Amino acid sequence: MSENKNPHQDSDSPTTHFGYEQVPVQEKAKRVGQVFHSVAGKYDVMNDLMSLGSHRLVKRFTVELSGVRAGHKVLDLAGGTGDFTIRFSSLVGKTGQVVLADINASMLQVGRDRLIDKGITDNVLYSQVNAEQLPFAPGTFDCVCIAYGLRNVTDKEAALRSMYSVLKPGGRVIVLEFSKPRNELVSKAYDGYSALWPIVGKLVTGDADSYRYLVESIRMHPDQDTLKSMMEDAGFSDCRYHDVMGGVCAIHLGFKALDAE
Amino acid sequence: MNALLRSTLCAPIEGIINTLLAQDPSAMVKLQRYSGKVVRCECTTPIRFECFLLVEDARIALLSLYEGEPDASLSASASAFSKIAMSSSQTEALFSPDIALSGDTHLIQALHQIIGQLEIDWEAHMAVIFGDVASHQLGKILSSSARWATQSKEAVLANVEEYLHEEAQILPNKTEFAHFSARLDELKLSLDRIQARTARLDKALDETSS
Repeated sequence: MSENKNPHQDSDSPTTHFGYEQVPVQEKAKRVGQVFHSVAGKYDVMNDLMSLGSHRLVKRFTVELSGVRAGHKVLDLAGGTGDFTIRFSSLVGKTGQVVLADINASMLQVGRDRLIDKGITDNVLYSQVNAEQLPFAPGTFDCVCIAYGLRNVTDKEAALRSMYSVLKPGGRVIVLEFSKPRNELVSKAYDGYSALWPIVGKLVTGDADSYRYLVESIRMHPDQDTLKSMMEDAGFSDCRYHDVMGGVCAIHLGFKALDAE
Repeated sequence: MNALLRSTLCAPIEGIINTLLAQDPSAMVKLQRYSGKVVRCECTTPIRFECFLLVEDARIALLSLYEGEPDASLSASASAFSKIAMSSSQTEALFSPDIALSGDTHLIQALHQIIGQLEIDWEAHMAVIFGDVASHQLGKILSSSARWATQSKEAVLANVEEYLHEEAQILPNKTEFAHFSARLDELKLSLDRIQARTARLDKALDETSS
């Protein structure tokens, strides 16, 4: 976690970033919660608008990289509106199970309603959890997937350690997150494009601030190699990543060694 | 080919297959028998492209990556794949020299049969858009047009065949051709026999002279 001392705060109160802003550590989860509570209803529409639909293909590829098969137990962390759970549920079949987990009740509600409307009820459970302290027994899941969620977690290291703990030996974590474009030109174009998101957010959801936070949080998120090191520090082995769209997003993979406790 | 690009290319194909499957409930029931089975499909030319067809409960997933061992494998050129997709005859489509099958070939045959025998009630689907009466009329027009097209095609082929065989006498008919082929085979066998006898006589002559 990138904790800093804010000169305007009490010197004993650690702070963390909320976009470009420094906020007390204990306040970040609440502020992020407010953001997602505000956008939950239009979350999928905004994803389509901001990514021009490409998020569907990236998510599809992420699911393929997850290696999830029939009978697996999967944790879809920060699963929000359930895009991944829908795919995982189909892949694990009747003998497997997917837990759709999110810290935000509004997002979880949208996801649960959506899945029930689609008739996906057999093998899906719902859980409101904090990624930093996952309330599951160690060695529960074959795969933990967190997509576009890690950057919103206050203590990323704690979240990665917690994910490591709930994985079975041989299981894998898959982290899909915005990252740093490799090419300077792509980076500039992406910066320009993402500057439009708060405007689009204002028009569609009536809330520009949440999308301003989104853009800022992407800038503050660690780059590909830093995140890979963080995963290794949390205990994952054979960590690697796939750049998507020149590094605009990255899919990180990490494994829990077979001989891990 | 890049895995993300492969995955992107698989997406629309998967969408089309599942949209068609969803129109025929009996196909979905048949498909459930093969749930969990995986077929590796490899296109060899003009570009090498590999994907995995995974049967889920009532749908087919087309994956660019699969880490397990597939149950069957199908390797063919792009043109052979298009033949497989278009033809409902298994002998014609699957048992061709351009296609290599391995593993559980019955699985490939069964999946080909399910997809090839899709019975889609287009009229019912059109009724949602155009209404019952209009879609029934449209269905009648389309089916009579299709019948007319089939009959016309058969009539044209029969007339052309008759002209070439009987009137212009450019080509032999089937019986003549079969008779000619049989005579040709007989001639070939006779020639082979003569050749063998000549060789034997040459050999005997060489042995006598030496």
